[in-house]
Amino acid sequence: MGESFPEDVLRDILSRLPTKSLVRCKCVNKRWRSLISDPDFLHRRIIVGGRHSPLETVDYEALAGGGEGGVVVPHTIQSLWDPRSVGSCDGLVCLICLCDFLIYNPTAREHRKLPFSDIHRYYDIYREYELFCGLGCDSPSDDYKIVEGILCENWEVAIFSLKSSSWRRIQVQLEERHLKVAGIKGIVVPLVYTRGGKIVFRMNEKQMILFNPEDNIWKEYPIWSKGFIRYAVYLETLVSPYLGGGPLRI
Amino acid sequence: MSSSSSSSLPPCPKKMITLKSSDGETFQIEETAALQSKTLENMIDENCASTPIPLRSINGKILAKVVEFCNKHAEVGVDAESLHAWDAEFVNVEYTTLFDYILAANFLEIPTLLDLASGVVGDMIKGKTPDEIRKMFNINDAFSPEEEEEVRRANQWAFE
Repeated sequence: MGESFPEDVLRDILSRLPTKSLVRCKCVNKRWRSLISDPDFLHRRIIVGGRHSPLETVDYEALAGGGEGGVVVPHTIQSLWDPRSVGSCDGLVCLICLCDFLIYNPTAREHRKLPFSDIHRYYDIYREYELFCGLGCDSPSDDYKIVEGILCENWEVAIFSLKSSSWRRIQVQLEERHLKVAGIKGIVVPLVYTRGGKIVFRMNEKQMILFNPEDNIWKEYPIWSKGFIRYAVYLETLVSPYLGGGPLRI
Repeated sequence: MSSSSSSSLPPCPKKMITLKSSDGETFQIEETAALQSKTLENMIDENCASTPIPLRSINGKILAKVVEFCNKHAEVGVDAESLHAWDAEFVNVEYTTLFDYILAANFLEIPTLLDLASGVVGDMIKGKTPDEIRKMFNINDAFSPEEEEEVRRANQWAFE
C-alpha cells in the first residue's frame, strides 16, 4: 500500500525528515534513493560551515523547530588547517583545506577533493597578491564551477568545472584604469561566480563589474554605498521559512 | 454583501451531496464541508455533484472517516487547541489506516488531512531502520545484499 504512494506524496513525507533519518531512507530501495538524491529534492536544512577542524555544522532549522539529537553535527572531514569557506551553492559548500579545494555536501556527507589550479604557483611566488575564489552554479551548462584567481600585473583567472573535472585558464582583459586599481592589494574583491556563468568583482568603493569569461565582455555597475562594505552570498529562494509577511521593520 | 445572519430566521435547507464508496456505501456530506476537498469543489462548480459521486479508490470505512474529518473541520466556533487535540486523536491509528487516509486525501485533494497524516507517517519513519521501513511500506524490491552493503557503507554515519 505504502509503495503505491504517488511520488509527490512520498517526497512530501520524506522532506519532513531530519537528515539522519533521510540518509537511512536512502537505503530502503532504488526508488527512495533516487528520490532523495534528486537535485530537485529540497535542501531545506540550510547548513552553515563550522569554524574548526573537524568541521562542525549547525542545523538552524533544528534550532527553530526542535530536531533529532543535537543541532551541532560533527563531520569527519579533517584538515590540518582550519578549513576556510569559499562559498556555497545549492547545498554544496566549497572549502579550502591545506592544499586542496574540497567540495562538500554536508547533508549527504559526500565530498570531492580538487587540486588547486596552477595559479597557486603565482601565489606562492607573489605572496603580496591577493588570491580569490568563489563557487557558483552555471545553469546554462548545468554545471558547478569554482573560480580562482590572483591579482598581479594582470588578472590570472582559472575556472574549474565539476562536470568536466578540469581547470581552464581564462584571460581577463580589462581597461588600463581597471588594471591600475587591480594592482593594489585589497581593493578588488571577487565576489561570486554567478548562475549565468559570469563573475562579479568589486573594483573599488564605487563600482563593481560583471565579467563574462565566455565572451570577455564586462559591464560596470555603481555601488550605492559609502564606506566599508561587507558582502554575504546567499541562495536565492522564494520560500521563507519562519518569516512573516509584511514590510520589513527592524 | 450581507454577511450578518440572523438566528431568528428559519435555517435554510442545507445543501447535501452524496458520495459512494468503492464497496457501494453511500455517505451524505454537507456541501460546505465537502468544499475542503478541491476535487469535490471542482465537481460542485461544474454541477456534477447532483447525483451520487462514485469514489472507486476509497472504501466505506475510510470514506466514513474522511467525511467525519471534513465535518469537524467545517464546524464553526471550534478553537484551534481543541481542534488540534481532535486531529491528534483522529490520526492515532494503525499506519495502514494512515496510508489509506493519505491516499484518500491525495485523491480528494484535502490538504489539511494530507498534511496531518503525512506528518504522522514522517514521525513513524524517524528512527526506523531501512528494513523496518520496507516492512512498513510493504516494499519488496530491496537492494541486493551486495548493493545494500555498499549503500550502507557509504552512509555509515546515519546508522551509528
